[in-house]
Amino acid sequence: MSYRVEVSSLKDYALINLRGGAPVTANWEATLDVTFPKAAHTAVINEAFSVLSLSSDHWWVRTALKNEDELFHRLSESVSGDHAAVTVVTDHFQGFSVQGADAVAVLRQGFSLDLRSLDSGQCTRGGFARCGATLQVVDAGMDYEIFVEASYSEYVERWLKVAQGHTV
Amino acid sequence: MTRLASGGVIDRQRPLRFLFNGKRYQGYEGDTLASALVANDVLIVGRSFKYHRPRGLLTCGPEEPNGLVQLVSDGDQPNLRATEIPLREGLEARSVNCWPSARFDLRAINSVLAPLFPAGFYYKTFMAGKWDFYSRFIRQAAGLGHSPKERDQGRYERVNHHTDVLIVGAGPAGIQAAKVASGSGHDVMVLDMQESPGGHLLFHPRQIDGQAGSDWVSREVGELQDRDNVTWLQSTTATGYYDHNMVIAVEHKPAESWLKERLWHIRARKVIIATGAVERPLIFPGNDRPGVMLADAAARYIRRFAAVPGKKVLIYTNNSTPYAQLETFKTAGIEIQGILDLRKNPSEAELCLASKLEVPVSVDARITGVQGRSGIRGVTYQSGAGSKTVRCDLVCHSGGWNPLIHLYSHAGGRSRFEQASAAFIPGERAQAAYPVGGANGTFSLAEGLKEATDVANSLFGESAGNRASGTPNAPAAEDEVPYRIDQIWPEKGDKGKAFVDFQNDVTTADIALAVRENFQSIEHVKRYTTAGMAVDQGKIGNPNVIGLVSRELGEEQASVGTTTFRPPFAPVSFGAIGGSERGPLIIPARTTPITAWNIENGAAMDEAGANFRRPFFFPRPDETMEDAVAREATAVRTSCGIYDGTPLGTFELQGPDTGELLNRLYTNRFDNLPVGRGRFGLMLREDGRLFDDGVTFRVDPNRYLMSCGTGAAGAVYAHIDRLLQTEWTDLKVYLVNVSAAWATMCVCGPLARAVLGKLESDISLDPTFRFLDFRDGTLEGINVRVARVSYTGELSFEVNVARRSALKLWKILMEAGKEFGITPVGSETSGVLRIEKGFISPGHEGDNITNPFDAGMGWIVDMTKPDFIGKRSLLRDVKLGGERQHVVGLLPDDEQALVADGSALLPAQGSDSRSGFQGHVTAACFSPTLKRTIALALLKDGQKRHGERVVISGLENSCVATVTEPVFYDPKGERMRG
Repeated sequence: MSYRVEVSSLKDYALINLRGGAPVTANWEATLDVTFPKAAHTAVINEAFSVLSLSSDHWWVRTALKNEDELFHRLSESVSGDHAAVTVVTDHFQGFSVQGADAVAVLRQGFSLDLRSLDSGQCTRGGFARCGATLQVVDAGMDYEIFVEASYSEYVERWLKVAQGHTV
Repeated sequence: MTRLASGGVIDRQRPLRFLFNGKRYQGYEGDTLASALVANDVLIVGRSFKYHRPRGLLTCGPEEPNGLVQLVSDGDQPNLRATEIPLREGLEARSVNCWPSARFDLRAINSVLAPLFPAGFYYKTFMAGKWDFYSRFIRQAAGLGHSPKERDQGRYERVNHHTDVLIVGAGPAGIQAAKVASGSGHDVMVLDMQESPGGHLLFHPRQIDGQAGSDWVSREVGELQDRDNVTWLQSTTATGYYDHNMVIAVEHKPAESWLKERLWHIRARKVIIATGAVERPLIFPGNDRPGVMLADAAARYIRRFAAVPGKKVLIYTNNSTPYAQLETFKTAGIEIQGILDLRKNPSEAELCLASKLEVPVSVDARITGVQGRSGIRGVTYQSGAGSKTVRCDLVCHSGGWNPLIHLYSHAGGRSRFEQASAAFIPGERAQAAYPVGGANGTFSLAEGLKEATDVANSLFGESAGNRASGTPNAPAAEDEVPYRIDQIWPEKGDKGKAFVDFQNDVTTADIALAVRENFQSIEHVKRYTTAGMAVDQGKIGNPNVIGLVSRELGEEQASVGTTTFRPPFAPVSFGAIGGSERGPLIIPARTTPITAWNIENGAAMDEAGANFRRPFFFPRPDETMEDAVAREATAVRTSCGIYDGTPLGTFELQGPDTGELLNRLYTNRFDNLPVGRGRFGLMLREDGRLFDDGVTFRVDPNRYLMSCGTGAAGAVYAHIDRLLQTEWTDLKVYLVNVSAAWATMCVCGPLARAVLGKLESDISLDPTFRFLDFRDGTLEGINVRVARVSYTGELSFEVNVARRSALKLWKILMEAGKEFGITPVGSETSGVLRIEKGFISPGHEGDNITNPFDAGMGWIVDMTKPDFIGKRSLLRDVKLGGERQHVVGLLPDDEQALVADGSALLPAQGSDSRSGFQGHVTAACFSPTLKRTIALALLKDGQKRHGERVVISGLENSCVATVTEPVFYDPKGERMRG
């Protein structure tokens, strides 16, 4: 017996961490040909990549792993000499997908955040199961993705199994 | 068996067999253990804590002080209240605190010795002699029940929940508040600790809106539970109210079959406390005898469970409530011997109810004694007509009502004494907590419903600016008799024990003694007498304690004040507190990509800080730890070792001012560090004490990579982040944590270069690759950054690789190193190599007093820099001068001596200039390289005492040692630079 949830590790994705103010943001927007999300907890998602707003000067660009190197260089070069930080953090984080009718029943065991306040497409960061996590809402109530520091990945994988109602 | 043929919520078609104190009984589905015991005429349910007096059930709810049992059949859980245990087939329970049985308890000898055990006797008695002597006996006698011996197989869950409105209690006031709040569109959560909603309407027949109260409950709750914005939980106890309107509750019967309990962390914008009230006992001699029960509890057993607690009842009261229950007793076939009313003037309505049922009432009457020990034979009372004795087997008493203000008090709310209801009711509010109904001292059903309506309307209705579908009115209800109470205390000098705290055996005499001994604050009286400190937390007894203290002091009750109620309201199981975080999830354990390999290859794992576990050493079959460490250390010194350095913290710093930031963070300079080079840095706290150290590389002009200690990584990151955000906002630097992005494997030893040289690579390992250089390239096609860093004192190459490729590369290195005897090395071995080399570890040699000069690291402190964190404090240290502890080396005379970390250093014999404690050993080991014991230590004035002799005094061993330089091996560092 367990909650109606499927949990899986996310694979073949790349994460690029961007830090920078308004001037460099414009450069990145031009490079990617997309307007960055400026409001808190919002994201812009298209077929090639998604951009998550993590704070007023902090974004994640998520794309396919095969694009990691090329995208990193383009983003770095677009702000060369400016006060900005472009860092590949793909390996620093491990992503998990939590899908199903009881997804919230599982996630609310780890997040103290008010998950009701997040709509599809939104993202946020917060404490999760005694380690930090970034949450992206794919489909509110049904489909979520969480990213934890990779050193916690085995622990979180096990934690999610137990939270689903499985024995480990 | 005394069970009514009809009535109650029990299912007579589903009998349940159970064992209590080894005897078999039968109850029904819907019973609690307590109600089933009542129906089976079981009078004695346990023994009191101190005097081991036989005790029967006093209440019907969570406030029960006597009916504590060991639930043998369900994980052997101790101290559960029989009133809260749902009966089920095969249940087995036992009384606690008695031997050999509850009916015949040898420890009842305490009752005879009672004069020796007044309040605070332990403070007085155990002052003389040795505590160790007394403690053996006290430990044997202490405690109720026993801990389960088996692991709890139940599964628990802890969840977070947010809601606009939390309503605690689903009695009439709670239901009405929920109706108004949910009608205005707010998210509402309702918690109720009973199995069914309705509160006291479950037990007492009342009319609401012209229909039976139970019908009103069914209709309203049914509608509420159908609403999408309502979450409704029965069998759920709110146990604590914390800051920011957070309420913690335990759900005892989750719908999910695999769960035993669920702990809720509920954050609400507003909390309506509708927890009702509990009946208060009267104080009279023998008020603890089995068969003396609160009047409301007796009525509840009859109404709810069709269980009849006696055949002949005498009712004793100081208020109107029992008059409304006369009909319940009468219809249950109980012979009512009469009402003894402490008041002189009961109301007309009350007397009318008694007269209608032909129940005699004696006013201004006072019980002076209860006959019977294990059950009641009769009661003696005093009234205007003199002293009389009445035969009865049940005494139902009522001392009025205590609003359950516990949650309000947890929230920081004050309480105040209200004379009219003789109760402490909610006073000044601290958080968004709104008590209604009985919890607010509003004991009238009609007024409680109106109050709940008004409060909810003011918070959520149109008057609060919310879009509500009209403002609901309170339903109509009538009270049979208006609530009236006169608080009348027992006469001083009554013979026999009259209890105010049943669970801790506190009597009126104990309270009087405490006051005579000058305990005047209610908090002191509480602690001295232990009144209100047992499992029931004074739910029923506290107001009586306060009343008696006020009488003894000659003060008003309002001025005596109340004690503070603290969470939990009711005991919470450890399982619920722990939730799913047990076994392998007890700590959020962190791993590296090499962890699994290490374990598969036999590593003995050990805590390494920041929730990492690292290999301690890699024992081979039949090898001791000492053997394994010696083998690993020898390999590093003579051939090649490899260890997983991934847990170290790694931060990327980017921006034009990064050099300046590092100049301020570290004691030495970094702005002049060339690209492609690394530099060791020492970080101090504001007070100039060692904080952390590590190597930072300059990757390009505006990009640095900093490493720091595993355990300190979190603190270092927070330190830098805080400085950038609050102190040095002018610095253009971004800080990014990449600790887990990189895996670090350190190949060390004289053959390290040969091992790497075996691999296909574009990185030249020739002599131009100097100590503290780094080079980017590939090893066997894998992108790497190789750095010349050494934590062992040997030639070392630190290979940094993306996490995704780490295990693959590790295996390649192990394979390549086979012919050179590459040996995986654990942290214990690393520690030995560090001590041999005299490398300072802030975690060992830094003791919150050590500054860099004490540690012999003055070489890394650039006092000519304009500033760095800790510089001002260092200047102060230098100016103050005086004797400080310095890091030194120690060479024991006995080269095989066992020296423990932390051993004290004392002057050696013959030393006439010094005495007393001289310092302590910070790290010690047997050096496989030097074939002798060596140690690092902090020693007073140590740098001036090389060559002196000291005594190393450990708990188990002492030895004499010579003070030396702290570097025992390769003092010029030629090997690691080679």
